[in-house]
Amino acid sequence: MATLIKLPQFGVTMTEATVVAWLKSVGDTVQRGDAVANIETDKLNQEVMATASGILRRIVVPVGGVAKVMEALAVLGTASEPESAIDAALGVAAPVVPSTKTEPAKAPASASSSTAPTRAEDEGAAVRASPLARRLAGELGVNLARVQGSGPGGRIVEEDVRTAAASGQAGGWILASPLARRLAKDAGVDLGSVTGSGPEGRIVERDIQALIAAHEVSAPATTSSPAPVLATPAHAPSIAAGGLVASPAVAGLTRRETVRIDAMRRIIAERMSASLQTTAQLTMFAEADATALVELRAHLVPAAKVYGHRPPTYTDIIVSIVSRVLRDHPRLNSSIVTGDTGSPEIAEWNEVNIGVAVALDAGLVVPVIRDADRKPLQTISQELGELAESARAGRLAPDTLQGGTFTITNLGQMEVDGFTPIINPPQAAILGIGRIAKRPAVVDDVVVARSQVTLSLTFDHRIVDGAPGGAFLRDVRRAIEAGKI
Amino acid sequence: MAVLSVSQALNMALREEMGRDDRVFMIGEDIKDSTYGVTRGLWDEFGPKRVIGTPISEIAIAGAVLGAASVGMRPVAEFMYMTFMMCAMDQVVNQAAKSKYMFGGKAVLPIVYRTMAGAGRANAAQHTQSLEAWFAHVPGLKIVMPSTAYDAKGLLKTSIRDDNPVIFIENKVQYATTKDEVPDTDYTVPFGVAAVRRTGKDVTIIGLQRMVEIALEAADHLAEEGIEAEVIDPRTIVPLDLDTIIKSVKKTHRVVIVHEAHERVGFGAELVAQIVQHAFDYLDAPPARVANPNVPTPFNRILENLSIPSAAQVAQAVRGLMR
Repeated sequence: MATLIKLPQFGVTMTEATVVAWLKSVGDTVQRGDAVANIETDKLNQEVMATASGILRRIVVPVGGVAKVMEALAVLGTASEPESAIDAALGVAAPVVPSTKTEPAKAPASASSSTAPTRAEDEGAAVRASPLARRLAGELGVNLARVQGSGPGGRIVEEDVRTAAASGQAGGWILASPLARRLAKDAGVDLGSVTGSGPEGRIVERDIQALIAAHEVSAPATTSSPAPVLATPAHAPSIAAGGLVASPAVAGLTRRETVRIDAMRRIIAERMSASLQTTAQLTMFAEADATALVELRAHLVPAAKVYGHRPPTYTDIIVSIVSRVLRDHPRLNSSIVTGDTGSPEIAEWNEVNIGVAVALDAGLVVPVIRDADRKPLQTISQELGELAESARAGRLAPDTLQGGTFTITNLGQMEVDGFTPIINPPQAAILGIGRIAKRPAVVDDVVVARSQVTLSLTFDHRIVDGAPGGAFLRDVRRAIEAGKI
Repeated sequence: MAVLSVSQALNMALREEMGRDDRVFMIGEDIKDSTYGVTRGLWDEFGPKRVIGTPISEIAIAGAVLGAASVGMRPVAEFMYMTFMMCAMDQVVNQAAKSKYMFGGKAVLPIVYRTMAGAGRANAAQHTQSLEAWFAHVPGLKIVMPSTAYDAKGLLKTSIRDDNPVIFIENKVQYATTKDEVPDTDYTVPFGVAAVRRTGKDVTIIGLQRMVEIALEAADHLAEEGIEAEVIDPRTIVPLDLDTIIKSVKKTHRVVIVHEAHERVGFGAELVAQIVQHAFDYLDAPPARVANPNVPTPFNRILENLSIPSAAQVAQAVRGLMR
């Protein structure tokens, strides 16, 4: 019998989702519980599981398409079922409205409409469920409002209740490990929106970490925090999906390895594509004499060792220098956000929160040093050391990735000189640091060997013009050349 | 440094302490000849007044050391099997453990009750029990469970020098089979300091006494599967080094406890309770226990071996938590 795979409601506020990818193709055999598609909402990325087994007969919503909650995404059936049966399945099961919005069931046109039981007006009765399913729900403690019906007209039938009970949705209690529960709370994740991968469908640490790693959860809205609440650019689903536009296989080439695109890679792809497609970026270069910077660090490192502090890296010192220069250039420390009236406006931030790109084996994260302009170098150095270590251990708290207002990326270790960094939206600019190397320089009309560093500033020309961008870069260069903190 | 068995290390500790302090004496059944070799040679060296053989009467042994300790001696009693201690429970639990409290701290009872627990020698149910949880329940007793020859010597010396009643549990299988480097110098191992026998990030395995060896064996198997287990040896369960355990669980988020005592109300239950209380928010899976089943230990060697936690069982329990 043909069965619909419908878009589940992963969170109470979810109304629709975009299909990002189909993991199964028409004709594939699908087992109940198999992930069949990746969907995305403005809040989350999630896999849709098959609620039954069978052959994937038809994909109703293609990649990039949008479906409302409980609408059919695809149809499962047997290999021998005629197309007409697939059509019939789609026809019979018209989109079912989520239970909370379900209109009271209209009494059948035939008889006894006047004697409809008053129970029908109970909230519980608004959920369409078979009597057996209803009794079973009572016995198993399953909250019918949370159950997705697979029967005719979306009616909840016995199997739906048993599935719900088995998947831990009994009584509205979500199975989650204490650790997962705490992580979800800290990260502001609604457990109801998470699919558990542990035993009996328990939500475990990895499920929450996957969401956190993908930057998909917003930090808890603590009003006391000085962190600006940055508006995330509302990039259209098509652009988001555009981060992963795939090319057809190239004839004549064989694969050395196939690498799965994980959540982090997908997010990087989407963010970077969205950044280039939605902003007007340009990059300026400036060469700074780093002699004083080198001397400064040479002076600070032994001192740090004496006091048992983490010796400052060039990145630490540059974060300190740049954060202070940014105070005089607020436009470089701004974002385009949606104003109270709903129209876009430029917000220049009070806070100077510097994101620092940290390379990982699996990708890249950008932990944030908050209020870097108000912190002494030693604190910046300490924090950055700890953040980088946590990042590499995969244990970065989600709030450390939030609220950046400007980003610094240092490729000096890779012996890169200049490059064109991509802005981390919704920020206005990013500064790339190249290697510090001795190069010929003219000092007092004489060519001498001096330590030099190339600064690469990318900024968003929608909000920063060339002259103020250049002025900022000039001031950064001068501050580096002064070598003072 | 010499590699010694546990019984040789214990023998060295007893000889050193008796030589160091003439208030130390030993009393027990068959200690002149010494079935497992722990007290071998000491009768010849220190004579019948300091190595006292007794008839088969545990209550007499317990009563003698209680009296001797209360007048300033530092006795080391030997109960040949831990199950025999039940004959002396009143002396140990109701008198020795409580006298210091009952007399306002004036009664100092530096008694060591050496005894032997564990399974694996086909001694049958009445000679094969691990009753550490019974004694751990009683305030006033310290419970020592060394897992290596090095610790056996260092902890026995600490026990003899402690001014409180100490239950010093030895494992019957480890006497001969567990061997490691033991210095012939005068060293002690402190109470309440757990040893991390192996570091890992994925799961914490806490083993008691010989089960530390089983846990390490399981950890080797698990490492081949890419699971890095941390193995903790509490060494003394009263006092308990909870800090090391909690720190480890906060790191690994999973814990398996292994002991030879029966599972029901074994010391693992106490560990689980403490871990849940102090590291609840860090657990990613329910704590698991691998222990003797809740049946009297079989006499039949094959069945007995099945009843003792194995490395395979421990590894399986870990895999269950990693799903």
